[in-house]
Amino acid sequence: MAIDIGETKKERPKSKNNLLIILVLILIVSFIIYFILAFVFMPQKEAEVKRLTAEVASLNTAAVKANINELNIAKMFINDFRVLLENSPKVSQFLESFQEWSHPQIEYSNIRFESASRKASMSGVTSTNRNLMEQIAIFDNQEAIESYELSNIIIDETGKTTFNLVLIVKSNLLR
Amino acid sequence: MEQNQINLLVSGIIIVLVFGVFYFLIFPEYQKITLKNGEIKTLEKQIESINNYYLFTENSFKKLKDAGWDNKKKIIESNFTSSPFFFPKVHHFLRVIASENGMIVSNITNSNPIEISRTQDKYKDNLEGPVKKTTFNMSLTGSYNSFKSLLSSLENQARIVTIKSVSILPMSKRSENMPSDFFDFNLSVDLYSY
Repeated sequence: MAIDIGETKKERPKSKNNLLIILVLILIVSFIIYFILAFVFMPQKEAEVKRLTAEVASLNTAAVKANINELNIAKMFINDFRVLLENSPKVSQFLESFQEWSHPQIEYSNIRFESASRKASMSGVTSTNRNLMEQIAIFDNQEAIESYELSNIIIDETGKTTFNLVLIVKSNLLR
Repeated sequence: MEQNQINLLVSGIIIVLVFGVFYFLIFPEYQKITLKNGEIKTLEKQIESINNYYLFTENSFKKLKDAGWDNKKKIIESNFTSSPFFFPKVHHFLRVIASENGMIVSNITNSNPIEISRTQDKYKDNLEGPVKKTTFNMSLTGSYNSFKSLLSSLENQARIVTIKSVSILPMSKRSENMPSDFFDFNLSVDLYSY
């Protein structure tokens, strides 16, 4: 029994010393990790950030800026040209069409056409009101006419008929 | 103090030191490195997107040049220029085009330029540039066919001419040598500038 007690007393300080050594090693490793992070990795990362920042700044060259500027101008011009062109009605098409629609025996005068309202106003004169009836029939058959209105129709003793006409055409006629 | 107690105390101090090193030195440094990594990733993405954008603009610019943009720009830029000679140029342009189509110009007047964004025009929001429009009123004399031809010419110009209104009237003063098929015409048009 005495021998057994002596053996256990010798082993305890050894294991405690080992633990102490392990702890000291962990502390040393911790310091090493810190130094590696602070004095190896961190400067590397900072250098990388500096290099990339300089690269970003160097990308914005005058030639590239000029190209982008020219592209923006082209985009603006092309867009504005298209918009203005699309909103410029072809009034000549109204005159062409009206020439086809107008009755050969009716004389129109004081013709005024406004493209924004697509409205034409004019006065007409014909030898007989039959011509006016035929003109109405022609207008009724035209798909490009949105609406029309006759007013101040005057028929004299000889049958001569005068009238005012307001005509509104559909927008697709002027495209 | 016994050896055991000293060992225990030293071990405790070392453990505290290890925690201290981790908490006050390693962890903050690790966080800094993580932040730097994030910064690097952002910069790399930025460079990549800038390079892609430049590549796209370079290709677009090449396509634009291949499509003959330089010539086309010269043709259409009359609509988008600002010049102190705008009015005399347009007066000259309108007189020339009218005479080319057999019309006699008796008078041309013009309004002041108005920025389209300040008007009630429906399409104003679709424009990108500071387009101004100026209304020109023309008094003309000629045949109906010449007038139609003039309108067609105006409508097919690279300098955009928006015809606002036309009036066809019997001639107010007909001289002896004037053909019988001549009329008076009033033409109101918009022209554009920046």
